[in-house]
Amino acid sequence: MLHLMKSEFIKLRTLRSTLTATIVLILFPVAVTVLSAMFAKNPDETMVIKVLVNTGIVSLLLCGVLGVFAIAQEYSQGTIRITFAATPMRMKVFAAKALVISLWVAVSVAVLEGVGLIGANYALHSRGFDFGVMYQATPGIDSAWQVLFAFGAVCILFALVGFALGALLRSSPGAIATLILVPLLVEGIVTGLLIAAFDIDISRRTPFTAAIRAVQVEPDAARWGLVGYFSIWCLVITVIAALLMKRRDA
Amino acid sequence: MIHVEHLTKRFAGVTAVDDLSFTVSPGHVTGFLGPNGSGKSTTMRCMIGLDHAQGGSATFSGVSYSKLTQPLHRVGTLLDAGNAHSGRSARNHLMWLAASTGINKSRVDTVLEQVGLGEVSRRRVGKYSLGMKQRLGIASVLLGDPEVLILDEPVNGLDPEGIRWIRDLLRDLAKEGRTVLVSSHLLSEMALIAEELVVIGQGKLITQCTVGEFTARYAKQWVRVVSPQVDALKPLAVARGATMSEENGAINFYGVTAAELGELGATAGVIFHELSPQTGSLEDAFLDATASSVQYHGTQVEGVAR
Repeated sequence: MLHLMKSEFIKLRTLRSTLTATIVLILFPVAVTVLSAMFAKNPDETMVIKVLVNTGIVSLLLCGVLGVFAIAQEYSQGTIRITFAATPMRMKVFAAKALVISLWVAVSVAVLEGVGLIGANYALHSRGFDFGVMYQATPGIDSAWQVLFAFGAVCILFALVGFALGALLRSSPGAIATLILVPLLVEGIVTGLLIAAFDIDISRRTPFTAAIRAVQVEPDAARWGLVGYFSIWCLVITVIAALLMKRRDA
Repeated sequence: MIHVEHLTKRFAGVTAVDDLSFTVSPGHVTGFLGPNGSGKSTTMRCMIGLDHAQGGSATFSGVSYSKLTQPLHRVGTLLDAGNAHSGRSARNHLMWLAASTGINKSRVDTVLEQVGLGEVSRRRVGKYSLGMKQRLGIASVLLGDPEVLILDEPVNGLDPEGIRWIRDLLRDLAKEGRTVLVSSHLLSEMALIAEELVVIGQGKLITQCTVGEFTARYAKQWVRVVSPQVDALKPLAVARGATMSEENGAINFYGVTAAELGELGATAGVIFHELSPQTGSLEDAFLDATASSVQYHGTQVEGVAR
């Protein structure tokens, strides 16, 4: 398994597309967060984390795109045949890919959060604001650590959903379009149609919306419940993708 | 040793491989021939488990591909030279492949040198010519130093030097006792590389035999005669059931052997300037053997030269 994971790591490390997506997913929220800390008129304790996770929505989607790249490019470029020829046990390949992309995203998000917070902290202190950005929990508000861990978890889950979609659709454009359109458009349209036609409100049951709600500083439901709910959807899609990968011709 | 037994693969109602059985022995190159769409590539994909066969099996020294531990060390396959990410360098392409089986990094450099890509190994595959991609594909086959090699159209895109190189390489590998199965449309090339042939048409086995047996069985055989008294020979040959055709001043006799013609000529006092048995090429034999199995026919274009 370690050999396979090393192999998958080399695949990610040696492509410009994955490196570019990783750099953007780290730099975009870090830049916006540090700039906010430098120029915000009335910063408070929670501002830095709020900006970080709100701009981090872009990173969430990019984590999904990385997940898509990890598998769909293998199909589009034909390398999946070499991969399966070298390792006929496809479930092992699937697991190695899923683990490596999860670790890749986990490290990227840790760098994103670390650099963003250190940079913002430095900017605030240089402006004379002496409060720390890692605020403690207060009644009704989770601690900064809770938000950051939830954000990291949801980033990993997005990567896994992207990976599963890539394995299901075997096409990078198709999987990326699905990954972006479902949370940004489809869930909202379906929710609106169901309310209009049947007076049924599923807005609190839509998975991607739940994932995005889970990373808010002040979520409207139990944070880890939302993460768990999205995890179940992620697990279902991933299991379907794994089974199909095993059954289909390569 | 490869054993394929009753292999069957269907796609949406179309039978691409139909109860196909053959054996590939070590020690020589075996050619895998068939017209376009005859199921050669599908057979190869089924043999290594990339496509799931509906029936039958393929084993390598008695073990199915999916049961092989570290298959790169046992079976090297080249199915499509384009199966490499265009954005990755050749070296990195082999690095991930080597890492997946724990093959040493130094082996990557060795095979890159062996196939002649050492100097351009850090260039992206997207910048490679088809011939260079073929060489990279062959490098990936050699990476695990396997005892069985399966190559689908390995000479596609190679220049004459490259074709000669792969011909010598495959022969040398076979001489070392490895099992080598190669498909190719270049029949003249196959005649030079292969000793044994597996010929299929519409997914079914047409024949498995040596190249000599194949041409003897399927290619036309005739006797070429050049003689100032050939007119005296013709009626005698016709009486033996022979047919004739003229070609550049010579007469080709079909349905009669050179010995028979010699004896007939001697009785009639015929002087021979040439009396030689002729056999059609592997290409002729292949076209004859697969004539009823060709799915995709071209048509003559009229008036092109006008």
